[in-house]
Amino acid sequence: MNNAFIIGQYVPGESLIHRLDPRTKIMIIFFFVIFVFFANSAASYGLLTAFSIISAIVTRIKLSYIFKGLTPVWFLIVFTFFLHLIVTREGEVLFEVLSFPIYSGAVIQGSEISLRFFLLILVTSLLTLTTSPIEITDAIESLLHPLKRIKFPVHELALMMSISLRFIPTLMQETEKISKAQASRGVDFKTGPIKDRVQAIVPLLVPLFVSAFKRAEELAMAMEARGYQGGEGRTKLRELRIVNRDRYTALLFILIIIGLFLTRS
Amino acid sequence: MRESFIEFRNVSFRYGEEQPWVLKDVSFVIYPDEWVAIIGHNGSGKSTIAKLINGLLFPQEGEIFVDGVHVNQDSIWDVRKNVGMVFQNPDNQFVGTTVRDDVAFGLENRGIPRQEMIDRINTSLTAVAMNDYFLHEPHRLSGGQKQRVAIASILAISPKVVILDEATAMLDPKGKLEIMRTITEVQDKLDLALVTITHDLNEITLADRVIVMNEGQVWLEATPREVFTKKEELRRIGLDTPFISKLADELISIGLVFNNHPLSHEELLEELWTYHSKM
Amino acid sequence: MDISFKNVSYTYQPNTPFEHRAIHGLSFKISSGSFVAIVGHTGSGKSTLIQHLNGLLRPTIGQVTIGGFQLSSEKKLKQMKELRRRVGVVFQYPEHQLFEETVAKDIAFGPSNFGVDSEEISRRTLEAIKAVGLPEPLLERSPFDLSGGQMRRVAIAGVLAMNPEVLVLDEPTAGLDPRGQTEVMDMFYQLHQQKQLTTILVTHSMEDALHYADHVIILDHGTKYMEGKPEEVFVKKKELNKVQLDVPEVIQFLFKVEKKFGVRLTYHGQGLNEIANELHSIIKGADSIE
Repeated sequence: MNNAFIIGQYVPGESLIHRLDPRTKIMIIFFFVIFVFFANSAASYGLLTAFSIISAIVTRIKLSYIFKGLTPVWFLIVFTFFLHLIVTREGEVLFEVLSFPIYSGAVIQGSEISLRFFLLILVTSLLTLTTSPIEITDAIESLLHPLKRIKFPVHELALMMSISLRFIPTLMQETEKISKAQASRGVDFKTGPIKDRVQAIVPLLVPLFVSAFKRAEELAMAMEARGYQGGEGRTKLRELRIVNRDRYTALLFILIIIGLFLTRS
Repeated sequence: MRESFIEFRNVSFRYGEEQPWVLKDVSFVIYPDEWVAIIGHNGSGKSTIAKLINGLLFPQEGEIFVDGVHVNQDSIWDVRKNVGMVFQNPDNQFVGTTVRDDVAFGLENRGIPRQEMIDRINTSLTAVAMNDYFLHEPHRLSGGQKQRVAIASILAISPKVVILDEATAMLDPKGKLEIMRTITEVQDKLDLALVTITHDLNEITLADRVIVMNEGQVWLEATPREVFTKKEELRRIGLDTPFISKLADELISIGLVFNNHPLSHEELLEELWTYHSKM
Repeated sequence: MDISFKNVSYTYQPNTPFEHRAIHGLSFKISSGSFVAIVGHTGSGKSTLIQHLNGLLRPTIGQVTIGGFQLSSEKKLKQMKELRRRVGVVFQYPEHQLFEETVAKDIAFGPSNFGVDSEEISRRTLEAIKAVGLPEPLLERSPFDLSGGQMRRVAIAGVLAMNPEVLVLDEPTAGLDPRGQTEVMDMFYQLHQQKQLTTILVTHSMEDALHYADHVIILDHGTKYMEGKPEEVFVKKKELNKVQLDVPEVIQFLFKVEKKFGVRLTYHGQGLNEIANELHSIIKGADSIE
């Protein structure tokens, strides 16, 4: 679980990017994801790449850690590139590999797509690396707030997310405990034919569900006992605040987007 | 006469029409500032009492009053303002993703302004000596620490009664000790009624009064000292007296007479010393 | 089966920032047919230790021998299943592992995984349900309709039905009421005596360790802190207090008697009535001391 794969992992820190309001980060990434597709020249790509890499450096998380953590994604990026080499037949033939022609258009398109893909993954993982899950939850609640008018259960959704986050480690521990108990009763989760291994899941899943339901029931009771009556009239301890550093960051981002359009060919 | 704080009047409860009665015609009174221990074997109905007090369950027969208010669908939110509960499983009552957020939960529900919230969180976490753990996540805390946070969350809403519903049952000896120490301190400092529900007779020695439950009925209401003299009867209903009380019984059976049935090592030693000097 | 640990260490998630050494340089022997208590605080390495006994964990360093089976970091044990059949583990709150539709099926789960034939399974199921003191008609009920105490017993029966030679118990009485606690512990003690089951009890209760075990191992921060006969280990008040453990209450009291009356009463497993008599003679014969 704690291997090098970093998508979804949070690394606590004090960097500028860590301290940005999560809503600022989410909005920037939202627009970044859109505008990546507007880049079409070397300069515009250069601008966006520089923005992403500099942001990564500003987080003060080791770049090697970030790049190593994207290992599984590298595979996809390279795969996309080669796929383009094979399928795209535009431009002139550059050279032939085993009598298979490689077109210049293919190289360009392949690189572009792979680069976009890489930038998207890098920037979104910067979000999760620098923002705790609960901050993301708060930000989503706040950003979705206008939807309350159309009776969208924003508060409930956010509460559900934060309780899930709270219980993930608990349920992981529980899974390990039960699988050890069943392994002690002779269940083999790791070897044997697929059919047997699928069956071996039942003694793990049933107790997990039973316990999850019991937890849910007890938690509901504890929440009620502590005066929970839904979102109406609640105050909040964790508060989100847009301060100057958010404004400046947003401004900088807007300038970069303007730059993007100026450098487009 | 003292004004009662919690009152059960002929309360009977069962989970469904076909189910057996969990509580049968239970009546008792708890006064403000009092520490009452409710004991009984597992399944004696003792935990049901806690859930009835703050309207998590409602009785089929009889009435319950908390601070003069009849507990029913309409009054539960007022009642819950005065009643704080700590449950058995430390994990299943920890709502927040961090210690601070968990204490905040009850305050947020009551619409307390943020600044006051921060003050109250500080005070109540200090009261249970968990003020060094503000940003800790629950899975990094021991069972005893989680239960202390649960107590802090309740103190933060300044209730008039705190109910510990087998809050120590899942803890190791260290955790049990932590909790018992915490609640004794808290009860000393604050004007609170305290109701501890347990099957561990070592935990009732400090209570003012004990209600012993058996088969859904009040079997005995007495002081801890009186309770411990009934060793045989307690054992018959699945409970066990502490070591000192057992030893005292053995001494009585070979002819010694005590002025007071001893509750602690020191009391027994004192009684023996008195004997010794008389000889 | 004799059990021995030779210089065993175990590290969780080695070479990561989360690296954690749970036990370290642990050596001891448990002879076949004995009743051993392993005592220590939460985090002292007890759970890690017992997971080595049926191969759920393999030592990072050192060697664990259980009868003819050997566990070490170098090679995987081929007869893992056979080891697990012979070493039954009752985990903390074992009722959480129940999952079958009926009690009978749940008890049969272990033995059938180990390839026991159905006739033998039904024989063992009956035997196991009796051993844990539950009535036979319960076998056809769903385990989820039972009380907590009954579920605990069903889970224990499921382990007993594997006919293990070694029984490992991790806090088997946690959460039970006093009567339940005594009944469950007495039941394990009886099984131990009747079947010469090697029993390893992990407990926080000094009282239980003193009462049931003939050998005690005390763990502290992943290492062996003390070892010996309970009546020898549990009188070492200073040493125990140093690792924040208490001596059992009866011994505590006898120490206090010594302090107050200047007479030493040693604990050698005598009952409370004997202690009462000894106390009686102290207060009577006090003249001779003064």
